[in-house]
Amino acid sequence: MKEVFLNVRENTELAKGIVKMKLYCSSLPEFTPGQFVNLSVGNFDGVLLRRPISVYKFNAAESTFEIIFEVKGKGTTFLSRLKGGNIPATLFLGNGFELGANVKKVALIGGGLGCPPLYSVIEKYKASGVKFYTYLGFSSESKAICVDDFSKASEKLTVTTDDGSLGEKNFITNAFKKDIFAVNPDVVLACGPTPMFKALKALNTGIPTFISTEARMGCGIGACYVCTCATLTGNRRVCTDGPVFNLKEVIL
Amino acid sequence: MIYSPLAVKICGVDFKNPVITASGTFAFGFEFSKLFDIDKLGGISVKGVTREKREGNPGPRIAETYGGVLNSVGLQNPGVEVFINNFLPFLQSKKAAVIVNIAGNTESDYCYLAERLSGTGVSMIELNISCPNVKEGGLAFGVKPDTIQSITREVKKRSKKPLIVKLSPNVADIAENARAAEYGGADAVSLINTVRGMAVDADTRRPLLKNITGGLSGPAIKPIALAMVWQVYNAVKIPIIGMGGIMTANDAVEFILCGATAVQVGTGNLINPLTASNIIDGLRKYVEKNKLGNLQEIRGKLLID
Ligand SMILES: Cc1cc2nc3c(=O)[nH]c(=O)nc-3n(C[C@H](O)[C@H](O)[C@H](O)COP(=O)(O)O)c2cc1C
Ligand code: FES
Repeated sequence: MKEVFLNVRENTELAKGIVKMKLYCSSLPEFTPGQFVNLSVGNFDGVLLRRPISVYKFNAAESTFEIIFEVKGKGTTFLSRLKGGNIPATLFLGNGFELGANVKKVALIGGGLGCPPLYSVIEKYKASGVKFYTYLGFSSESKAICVDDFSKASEKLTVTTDDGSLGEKNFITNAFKKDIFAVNPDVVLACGPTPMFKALKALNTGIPTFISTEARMGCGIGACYVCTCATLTGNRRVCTDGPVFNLKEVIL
Repeated sequence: MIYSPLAVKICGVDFKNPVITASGTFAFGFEFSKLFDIDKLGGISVKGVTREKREGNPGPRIAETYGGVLNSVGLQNPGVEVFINNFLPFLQSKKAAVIVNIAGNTESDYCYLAERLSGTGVSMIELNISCPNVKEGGLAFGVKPDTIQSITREVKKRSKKPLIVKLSPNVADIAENARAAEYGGADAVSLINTVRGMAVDADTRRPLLKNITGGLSGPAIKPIALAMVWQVYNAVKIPIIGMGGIMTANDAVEFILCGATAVQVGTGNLINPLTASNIIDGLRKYVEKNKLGNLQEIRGKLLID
């Protein structure tokens, strides 16, 4: 983990209200897929806290990484307008997704803004021959993101929307359920809203399942205990003990 | 101790500068040590420690408000024995004074903790009778002058370490409470703890914190904190450690002008992990620019016509 200044290399609107940013730093620390960055929003119109945002793509050669976020309030509005530099940030934070050497087939399940961090897993493990079966759910076509990237990198991609405007009209966990036996993944990695995690838990697949959780944060480095996640072993810090937890352990 | 224009002695304890990280925002120092050299700090006030391990309140535990932060952590910590065995050795290997913030449900919890920590290498004990986020103990002891005086007296009897009493702003008269702590034998007072506050989402019609109410900190509370430090400065003789919304060296100077001997930085650490370190650099520049031999020369020297 490191405190750095970031420069904005690219800033594009991916979908309505959803921004993709490419950020550069001369000396990026090591990165594990699923980790996040804590970005300063300056001291702007009463907004103070940094915004934790997960990493979509990581490029060591370029010393850049990409993030995708939804413009929701003052903080993200400020970030979406940034050009150039120097944004103070702490990176890379949290435990991230680690795949064991014996994992050959992975099911990725993403919901909305939870999809991007799953792509960083493909980026890292694709070269070592791991196969990815990807399930992405969105509210509607206008909010769909990263579909092309996942489509190119996955053995199979399934997309669902709540309104049927793209792919099947269904919940993404239902689409996954139909495929479980055919795909038979060694591990399931998921990132999305809590109802999606609840649906996933209800599937009771028996397959090791890891979820990337979200919480409002303060420090992002494990020192303030505000980002709590209730687990079978007590309240854990999302920023440091997570954001990735074993689905079995999390009390949803 | 090497002469430094920022050095200060508080209740016999040497601080190489008056900047202390505030309880609850810096855990036990380890995490921040990965981002900057914490040897540089004057002191570290650790997360509130209780007799037994505590899980704290359910989340969400934080919400942002205009210029401020609400929290309802509720004293999550591993308990005093784990603190002493697993975390204290690291802190003691550092060059910052170690202040242990203690909390309990009963007077005997506080006394036990003071006695237990007296046998360790910690520098000072900070009696947290001002946490707004726990049901028992905490603020229950910190509102009325008579209970403040009696708990201070009982804990002081059992403490071999200098005792700081941390005061709440959610009270009728903080100056009177500071005086009660002084009568009870406190070696110093620290103030302010968080201001009780609440945030509501009009769309979902829900409170932003699971706990409904929480403690407000950050720049939004600085004017309240300054006024209270000034009131307390005019009421007691013991040293004052001031805090509430300190983000810059100038903020720290303002507290010192109002009578604080040292300051604590809390929410500032969350906004930028280098805040405390930057404040120390800024204070050094301030003494140079103003040609002060020691920063303490301006303590309480607010200019009033
Ligand atoms: C997340 C958080 C946790 C805190 N935990 C404690 C605590 O355990 N004990 C305590 O005495 N004060 C605690 N406080 C209060 C701070 O130490 C400090 O008194 C208060 O936040 C005002 O200073 P600030 O505006 O610089 O943050 C906490 C504050 C925050 C923001
Ligand atoms: S955000 Fe501070 S501990 Fe997680």
